[in-house]
Amino acid sequence: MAAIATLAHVTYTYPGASKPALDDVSLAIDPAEVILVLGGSGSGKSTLLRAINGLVPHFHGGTFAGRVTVDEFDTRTARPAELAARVGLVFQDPESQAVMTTVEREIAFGLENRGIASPAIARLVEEALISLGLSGLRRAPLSTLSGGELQKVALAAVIATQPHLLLLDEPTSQLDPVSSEELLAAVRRLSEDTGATIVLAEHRVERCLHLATRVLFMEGGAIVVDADPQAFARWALAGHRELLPPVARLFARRLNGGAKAAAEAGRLPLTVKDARGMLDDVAGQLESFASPAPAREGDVVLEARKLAVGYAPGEAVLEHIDLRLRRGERIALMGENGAGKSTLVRHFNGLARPLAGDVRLLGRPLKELSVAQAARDCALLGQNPNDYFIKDTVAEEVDYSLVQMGFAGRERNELCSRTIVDLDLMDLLMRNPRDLSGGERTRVALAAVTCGDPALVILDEPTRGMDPLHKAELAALLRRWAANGRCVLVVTHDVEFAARVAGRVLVVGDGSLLADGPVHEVLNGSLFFSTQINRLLRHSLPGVLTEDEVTWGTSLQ
Amino acid sequence: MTLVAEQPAAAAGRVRATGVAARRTRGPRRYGLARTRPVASLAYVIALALAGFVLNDPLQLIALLAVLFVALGFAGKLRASLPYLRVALYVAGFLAILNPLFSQGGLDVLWQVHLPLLQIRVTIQGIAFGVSTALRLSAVLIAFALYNLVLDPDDQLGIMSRFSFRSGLVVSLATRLVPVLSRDAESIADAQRSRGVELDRGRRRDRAAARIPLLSALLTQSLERAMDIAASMEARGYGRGGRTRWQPERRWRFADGATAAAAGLAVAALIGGLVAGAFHYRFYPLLDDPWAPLADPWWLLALAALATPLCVEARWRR
Amino acid sequence: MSLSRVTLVALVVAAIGLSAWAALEPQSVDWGLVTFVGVVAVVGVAVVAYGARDASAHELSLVAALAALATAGRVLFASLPNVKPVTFIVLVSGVALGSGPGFMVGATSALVSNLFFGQGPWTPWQMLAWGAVGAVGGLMGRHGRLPGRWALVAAGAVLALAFDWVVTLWMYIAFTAHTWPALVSLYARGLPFDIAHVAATGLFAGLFGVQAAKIVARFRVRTRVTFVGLEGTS
Repeated sequence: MAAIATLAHVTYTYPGASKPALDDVSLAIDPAEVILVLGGSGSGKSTLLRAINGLVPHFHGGTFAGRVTVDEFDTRTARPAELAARVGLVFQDPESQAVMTTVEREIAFGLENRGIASPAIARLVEEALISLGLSGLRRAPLSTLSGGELQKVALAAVIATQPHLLLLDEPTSQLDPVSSEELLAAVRRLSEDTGATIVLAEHRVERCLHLATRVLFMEGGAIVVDADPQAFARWALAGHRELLPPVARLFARRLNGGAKAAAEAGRLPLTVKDARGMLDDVAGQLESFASPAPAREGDVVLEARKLAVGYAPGEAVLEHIDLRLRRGERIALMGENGAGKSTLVRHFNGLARPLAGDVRLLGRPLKELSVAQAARDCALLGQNPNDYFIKDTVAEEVDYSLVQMGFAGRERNELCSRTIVDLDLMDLLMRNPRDLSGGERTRVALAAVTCGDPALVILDEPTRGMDPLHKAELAALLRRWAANGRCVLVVTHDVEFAARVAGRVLVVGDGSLLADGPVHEVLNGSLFFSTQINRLLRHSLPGVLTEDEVTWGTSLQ
Repeated sequence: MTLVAEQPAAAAGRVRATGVAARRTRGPRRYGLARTRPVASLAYVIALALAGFVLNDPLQLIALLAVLFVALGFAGKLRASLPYLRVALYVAGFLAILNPLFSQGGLDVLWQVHLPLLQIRVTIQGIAFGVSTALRLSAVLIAFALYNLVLDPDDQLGIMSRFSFRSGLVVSLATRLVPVLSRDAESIADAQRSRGVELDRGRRRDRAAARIPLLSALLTQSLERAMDIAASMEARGYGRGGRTRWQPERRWRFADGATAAAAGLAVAALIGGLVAGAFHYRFYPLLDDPWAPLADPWWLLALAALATPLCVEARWRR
Repeated sequence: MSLSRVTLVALVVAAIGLSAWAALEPQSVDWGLVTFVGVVAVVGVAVVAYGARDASAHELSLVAALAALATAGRVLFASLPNVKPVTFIVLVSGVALGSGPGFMVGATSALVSNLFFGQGPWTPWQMLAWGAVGAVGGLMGRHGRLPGRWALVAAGAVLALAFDWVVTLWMYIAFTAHTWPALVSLYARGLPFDIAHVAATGLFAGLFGVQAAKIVARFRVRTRVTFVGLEGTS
C-alpha cells in the first residue's frame, strides 16, 4: 500500500533560529494509521505537522532541505492552500483558528476556499455539524462558545473538507478534561468510521496512547523512537518513564526484577481496563506502603470567611466558603469547568472583590490592599505565561517585578539571584521570554510573580499543554517550596498531577465547597476525580493514588 | 451554564451583549422588518434615509418620521431605539437653535442683534428652516437606528462580503477578534497587577503611565494571534483562487419581495421627484405653502411605497 | 456581472451624475445627498480596489487584528468623550505597513467600531477620514525608515484635528445653513472634543508611538524560503 505522505531527510530551520527545528527527519505515513507524536516543547512536533501541510516552509520561511510528499504533491512546489485539499490541520489554540463570526460560516469557509458549489457546501456543513454534535450551535456567534466547543468547530471545519490526512497539533491542551475526552472520542470515531489517517501530537499520554497504532517520540528535532505502542512502552521503560501512563509505570516496576521477569513481561497495560485484566493474574501480590504524612500545623497564611464570589450581586458562583490555608500545605483546587475555581483564587490576591464575606492575607484584610500591594505576599500565576512578558530579556523581567514590588538595593539583588537559582534560569537570562519554549516560559512567569518570596503561591492550571517531564519538574519544585514553608495552591483539572503534588484537596461545585480534606481521602474512591491507580486498586488497596505508593510483594522478585 | 463567569468582564455595550442568550439555533425571535431578508430591509432603510435627505417640507418630514416610528414599532425595537432617539434629540435640538440664529435671507424678522463681526437675524423663515433641518436630521438618524437594530452584525457582514469578499473577510475577522482582544487586555492587566504593577491606586497620571508597557504586550500578542489565524487560513485553503461563495438558501417570502419592490419604487419616486424639482421647498425669502407639497404626485407615490412594507408586517410590538 | 459589481457601478454612476448636477445647478442640489453618495462611492471603490489586490492571509489578518485593537481601544475609552485611540493605531499601522494596509485599517476600524457604537451617516466619512490617516501614515514611513517620536506626535495631532473637521463636514453640508457664522459655531461647539482627541492622540503617539511602530513593523510580510539542494532520495 502506497504511503499517503512521506518525509525524506527533512532538515528545517526557522528564520533567525540557531538550531534546526527538524533534523534529518524521515517518515512514511500509511493510510488508516493513527500516529501519536510525543515530545517536549521545542522538540519539533508542531514543526513536523506543519511540514506535512506545507506551512513549513511556505508560511514560515526559513531554510528547508529534504523532501515532503503528500499524495502526489511535493511541498516544495505546492503551497499550503493547494495541500489543504488533502491535509487538514487543527491547531492548539481555540481562539486563534476561527475566521468567521458564526459556526456555520466557519465550517463553510474551508469549503468555499476549495471552490465547492453552494448547494454542496450546505450539505457538507450540515453533515459536519451533525457528526460532531454541533447542530444546536449552528448560528451561534463564535464569541459565545467555550474552548471545547471552539475546538469541535475547528475539527468540524476541517473534516468537512474530507481530507485524506488529518493532523492535530495538541488540540486538547487548552481544554478541560471533559471537552478533551469528547474531542478525542470524535477523533477516534473518525478513524474507525472513515479510516482517516490521523497524526496527533499530544502530551496526555494516558488519554491517547491506547488509540494509537504507532508512536513517534521526538527530541531536538529528530525522531528518536518510531514504533507501535507496546514497543514504545518497552523503550520508555529505560529512562523515559514519565511518558508512560501510570498503570504502565506500575506494572513496569515489576520488570525491574530481572531478566526472568522481563521475558515474561509481554504486554504492558496502557489503560485501566488492560491493567485490571492483568491484575487478576498477579492478584494478592501488591502491598501498599503509603501512609499519609501527618499534617504539620503551620501559620495561617490566608483565611476566607463566609466568602461569596461571583460577577454580579445576586448571582454568586460560590457561596459560604470558609477556608484556612497554612504554610507548608500543598493544596489542589479541583472542580468542573465553570464551577468557579479561577474566580475563587482571584479573590485571594485581590484581583476580584467578594460579593460577601472577607479574606485575610497574613492577618490583614485583603480589601485594604491593592493587588500590587498584595503581590509581595500572594503570588498568582495565571493561565497564560505570555501575559507577563513586557521586557526583552528574562533578567529584566525578574528585575522589573522586584522594582514594582518595591524592593531596592541589596535585598533586591539577593531576591533576584535567589529566584534565578530557584527556578533554574541561569542559562536563559539573556533570552527574550517570548522566544522560549512552553516549560521555560512558565518558569520565567513564575519567577516574575514569586521573586518577592511570597508566603502563598497560587498557580491557575499550570499544566495545560505541559509535557510529562516538565510536569514532574514542576511537581518537584512545588513540593520543595512547600517544604521550605510556602503555602502552595494549584488549581488544576489534572488529577494525576494533583495526586503527585497535593497533600490537601479542595473540590468546588454546585455553588459551594464540596470537599476539603487530605488528598488520600478526597481522591480515594472518587467517581470522577480519581487517578488511574486508584481506579485500578480501590477495591484491593483503598487509599492508594499513585504507583509510588505501591510495591510488588517480594514473592515475585 | 456559568461558562461566562470564567471569562473576565468584557468591554462595554454590545461586546458583552454577544452573550449566551443569543446562541440558540435560530437566534432570538424577530418581528417586522427584522424578519425581512437583510437585502430587502437594507433597501428599505436606504429608501427611508434617502427620503430624509431629499425632503424639506416640515409636514412631509413629519409623515416620514411617523413611518419610521411605525417601522420601529412593528419590529419590536422601540425600546431599544431610545439611546438613538436621545442622540437624535440632542443633535437636532442643537441644529434647531443654531440654524435660525445663523441663517440669512428671511424677511419676517423676529429679533435682531448687531455684533461686531456678525449680524444675527432671527426670522420666521429661519426658524422654519431650523425646524426642517432638525426633522431631516432626526429622520436620517432614526433611519440609521433602524438599520442598526434590524440588521445584526452578521447580516451586515453578509451583505458586505458580497461586494468584496476580502474586505468582508477583514471586517468579519476584526469583528470576531474584538471580544478576544478585550479579554486579552484584561488578562494582561491582571497578570501585571499580580507581579506588583500598580494599576488601581495612585495619581491618574501614574496609573496611565503604568499601562503603557501593557500596551506593547497587548499589541505583540494581538499580532501573534493574527499570525496564527493567517496560518490557519492558509491551512484551510485560503489563497488558492477559484473561490465560491456559500449562499444559505433562504427563499424570498412575499414580505421580502414586497419590501424590496416597494423600496425600489420609493427610491425611484424620490429621485424622480428630486430631478423634477418637486421636493424643492423654499424657505427664503418667504415660506412656501407647507400644505401644497402634500398633494404632489411624486410625494404621494413615495409615501405609498414607503408605507407598503409596514402594511405587510403589521403587528405592533413593544 | 454579479449583483455587487452592478451595485458598485450604479453607485459610481450616481455619484458622477450627482456631482455633475451639483456643478451645473448649485442652487437646487441637495448637497447632503451628493456628498453622502460621493463619499460612499469613493470609499466603496477604494475598498474594492484593495480587495482586488490579492492580499495574502498574512496581511489581511494583520489588518483585521489592528482594526480590532483600535475598536477595542475605542470601546475602552468610550466613557471619555472623543478620546479615540483609533487615530493613533491607524497612523502607526500606516507607518509600519504602508498606505494600502493603512487605509484598510482605518476604514475597517470605522466600520467595525460602528458595529458596536451604531452606524450613522457619519460612517462613510469616518471610513474615508481614518482611511486617509492610514494612507498618510504610509507616506510617512514609505522609505522603510520609521519616523521619530516628535514627527509622530505632530502627525498624530494634525491628523486627529483633520479627522474631526472632516467628519463634522457631513453635518454642515447636509443639515446646516451654509453661512460662515453657522460653520464657525458648528466647529466651535466641537472644539473641546477636538482638543480631547488631539491631546489623546498626541499623548499616545509621544509615549508609545515609536515602540508601537517598531512592533508592528516586525510583523511585516517577509517570508523568504531558502531551499537547500538535494533532490536525491525520494
